[in-house]
Amino acid sequence: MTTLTSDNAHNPVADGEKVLGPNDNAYQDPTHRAPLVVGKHNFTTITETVTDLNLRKTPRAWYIAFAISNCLLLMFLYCIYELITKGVGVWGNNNPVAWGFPIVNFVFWVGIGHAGTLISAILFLFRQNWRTSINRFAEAMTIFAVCCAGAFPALHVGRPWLAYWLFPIPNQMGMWPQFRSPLLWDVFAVNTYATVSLLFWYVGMIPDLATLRDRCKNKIGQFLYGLFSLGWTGSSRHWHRYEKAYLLLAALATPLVLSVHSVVSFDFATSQLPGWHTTIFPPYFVAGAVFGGFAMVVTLAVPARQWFGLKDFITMRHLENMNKIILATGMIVSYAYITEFFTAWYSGHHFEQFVFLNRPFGPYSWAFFTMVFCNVCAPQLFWFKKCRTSIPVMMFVAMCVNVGMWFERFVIVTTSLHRDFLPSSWDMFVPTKIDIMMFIGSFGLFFTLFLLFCRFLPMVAMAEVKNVTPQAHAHHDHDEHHEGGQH
Amino acid sequence: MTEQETTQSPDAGKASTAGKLTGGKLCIPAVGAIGALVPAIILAAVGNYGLTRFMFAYIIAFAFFLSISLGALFFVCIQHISRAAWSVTSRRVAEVLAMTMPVMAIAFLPIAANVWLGGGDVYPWAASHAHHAPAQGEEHADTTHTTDDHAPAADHAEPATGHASLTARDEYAPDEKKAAHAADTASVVHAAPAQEVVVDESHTEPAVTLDGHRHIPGVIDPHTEEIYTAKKAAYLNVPFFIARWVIYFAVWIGLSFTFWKKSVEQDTTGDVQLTRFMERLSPLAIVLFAVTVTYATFDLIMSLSPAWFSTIFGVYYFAGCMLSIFAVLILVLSFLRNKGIIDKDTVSKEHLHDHGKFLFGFVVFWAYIAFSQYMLIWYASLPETTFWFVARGATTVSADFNSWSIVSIAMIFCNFFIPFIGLMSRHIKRTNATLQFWAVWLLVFHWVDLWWLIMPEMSVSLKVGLVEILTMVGLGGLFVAGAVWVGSLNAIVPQKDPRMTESLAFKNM
Repeated sequence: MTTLTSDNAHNPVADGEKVLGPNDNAYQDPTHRAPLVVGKHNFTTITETVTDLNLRKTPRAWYIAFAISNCLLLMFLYCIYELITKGVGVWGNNNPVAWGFPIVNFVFWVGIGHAGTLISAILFLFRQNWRTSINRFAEAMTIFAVCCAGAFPALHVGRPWLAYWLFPIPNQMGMWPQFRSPLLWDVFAVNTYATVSLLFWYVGMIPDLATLRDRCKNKIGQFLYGLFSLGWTGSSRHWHRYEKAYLLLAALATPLVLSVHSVVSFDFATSQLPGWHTTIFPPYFVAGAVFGGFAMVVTLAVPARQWFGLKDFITMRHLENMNKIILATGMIVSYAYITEFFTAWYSGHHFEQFVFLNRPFGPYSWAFFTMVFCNVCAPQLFWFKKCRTSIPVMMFVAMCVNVGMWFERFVIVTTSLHRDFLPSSWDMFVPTKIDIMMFIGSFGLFFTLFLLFCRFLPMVAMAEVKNVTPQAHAHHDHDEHHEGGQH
Repeated sequence: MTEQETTQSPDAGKASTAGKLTGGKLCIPAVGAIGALVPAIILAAVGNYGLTRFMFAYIIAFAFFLSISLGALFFVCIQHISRAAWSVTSRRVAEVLAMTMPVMAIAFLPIAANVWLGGGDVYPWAASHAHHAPAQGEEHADTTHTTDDHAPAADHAEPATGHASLTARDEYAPDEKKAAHAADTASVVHAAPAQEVVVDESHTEPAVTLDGHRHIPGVIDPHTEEIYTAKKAAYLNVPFFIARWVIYFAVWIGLSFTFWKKSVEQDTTGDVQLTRFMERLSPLAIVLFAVTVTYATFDLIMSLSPAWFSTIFGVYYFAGCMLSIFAVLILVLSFLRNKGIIDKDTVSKEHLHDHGKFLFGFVVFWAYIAFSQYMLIWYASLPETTFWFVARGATTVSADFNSWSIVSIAMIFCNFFIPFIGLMSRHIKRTNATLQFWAVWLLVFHWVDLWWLIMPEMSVSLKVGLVEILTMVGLGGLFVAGAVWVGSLNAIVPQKDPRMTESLAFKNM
């Protein structure tokens, strides 16, 4: 990578310093950059470790996991069948709460994707080299999360076979989508996001696909990896163009991190509904998305590094950094909650005030307090380094945040709608079995895609990780002191 | 780790070639500039709006320089929390700029005095509310009063019903909610029909009328404003306002001083633990910063129009803070380089390029926040919040255009599109002259932004002239004198920072 400039600065190594243990890179010594790859790795072992995951015989555990996610996926498909044959009445959506689970799930899944784009685009521009070990599967997660997200509004249109009407396609009926509606902006925002994320992910993968092509033993693999590596030879001209393209895509993807969830927040905030209409929604939703997304990355990274033997690449330092981002974005989300509550009082408008009293004291208070506990309280553990570097604690917090961010959307959607301006139209929202099965089933879709990715595509960006190892920037005088790359 | 790590590499010696500011030379003209406040006061006093005009100009200037100090404080925190090396050589300048906070605290005194004396000419809520705040039971009576006083209101019946149900608003009677909401919107709305929109000068003359209340005709009905102001009295009152500002400045001064002090201490000791201390302090500092800046913004700017509210408003001002600090850092660093006070290799083109990238980034961030605030309020079109934009002519209803409309439109281009295109090129960010040009441009339009936020609360016609310029010069003198004095106490580049070598070797690409 061209921007790994900090590597040019070789740090002075004083004699007799405390040499860091081979697996302890979470300790921060301001005079040195901690290694980003631990263990005794060189270019060959990095390639072997990562490609072996794809080229070895499929392990039995993978089949078991794949079977389970396929069952969930089947459940999802069954729900879709029910929905299409019987109509949206199979959902719990009712008159005041016309947006029930589908929109909650949509926002939840779109949010999950944001961590991937943040890691690949924004951390890249910020020269955060530790991103190299986690960017590939975080980006994969982004794309699969967007797939899950897209399913819900597409099905919510009522006649999903006509969902293409969402696009402004000239037709003989002179029917056009409503350009003033933020829902339509969503169509464009999410599609742009999916396209750019996919391109970014794919372009970043080309050198690694070529590595797989060269190492693959079976004919089908050779053909497919060969096809998708686009004739990559690793010549310096290829690298030059590749790096330029990568930088440009990063610059293009950066505003997308902000824009997509901002547009999602517009779905709510452009309305006149108290609890939805508030100006802080765009940045607040973006922070929430990154928050939930990183929790999902941690949820996936912790078992993945264990099962796939990637502990040398996804080190404790990587996990700790992600936990710090979870804390930071969690604090932004808490800030937004507090500001909303304060402003509801400050506005002096009693509808505003009613909504914000109805959340903690109304019939959905259990959902509200679940949200507060998961999103505000649980991440506070990450103020302590012990918690940030403890696997059980980080899994607990990450699971809390996963739950909490789903409930946040549920609270926003439901509590604002179920008691609107006219008490005679008040009603409770109760999800149906199909609602719940569909949400769980969407995880089937997600994990099916994710398992396929783990099996067939390089999980770690080999070429990029090699770039942050000291061998890539060899200073021939004192290499032995450096175990890995720098951050 | 141990003290041994403080051993410097030969490269670190380079930083110490960075000289010190010679304070005296710059301090004197800067202190002299403070004198510009005197003609500003005199000029304002003889004008239409009297001292109110001066106070508005003063708040704009105060918000401008405060944004630089706050931006500097946040910049320092972010460098520590992210363990950044690239910025080490520029960090001291930011620490010094943050240390202008005590000066800003002194500069706040006239605002505190204005509020304390309770004129209500600047902050309507500061007017003694004993006479104005309608007690719940009196509202019916007040309704007639309003309808009589304001001819436009007589045209439609809603305001009357509106006030009637306003009496019930606090009881949370569910069955009255819909009616009350309709009433809310009706009562806050500025007179809807086109002929009642007041733009011409004759109506703007009585800036302070109506029992000493500042009032802009045609934008918000003063009676409504009073009702909403009274509801917020628990927050918007003089003692609490002053107490909050004491807390804000205590936090800001405490943090700026700690970061500056520890950093300066490292110049001599080279203690690595100081870096670790600042790294641990910065997340806490950011939390305190976020809370104080948000409420300070609500207090300083949002409460000028006490009926109005916007949750994003603190973030909006924060975006301006970040924009201005990067612009100021670019200008100050370039100045110090040109004067030979900072070695050109210590803060190199590479470092300035990075500052330029952040400047570009925050142009976009500001636009993002400004757009979010405007678009959402415009789209929902609730009169309870749109009136604030109507006062600034930022509307799509042509009948509501006023003299501020041109500023609102110009800001779209001058604060976003033009610098966005201008700063995009790598070449421009790496060329000293062009980078400085855009830094100056953005500072000017950051001032315009603050002027646009604050001044329309005084007058629907554009007010800019010598009063504003002299106030900026005066407060600027105070700010610069403070910064130069603090800056001249120590080396202007950190001396023994453990990441100094990395910072010196930093290159883009």
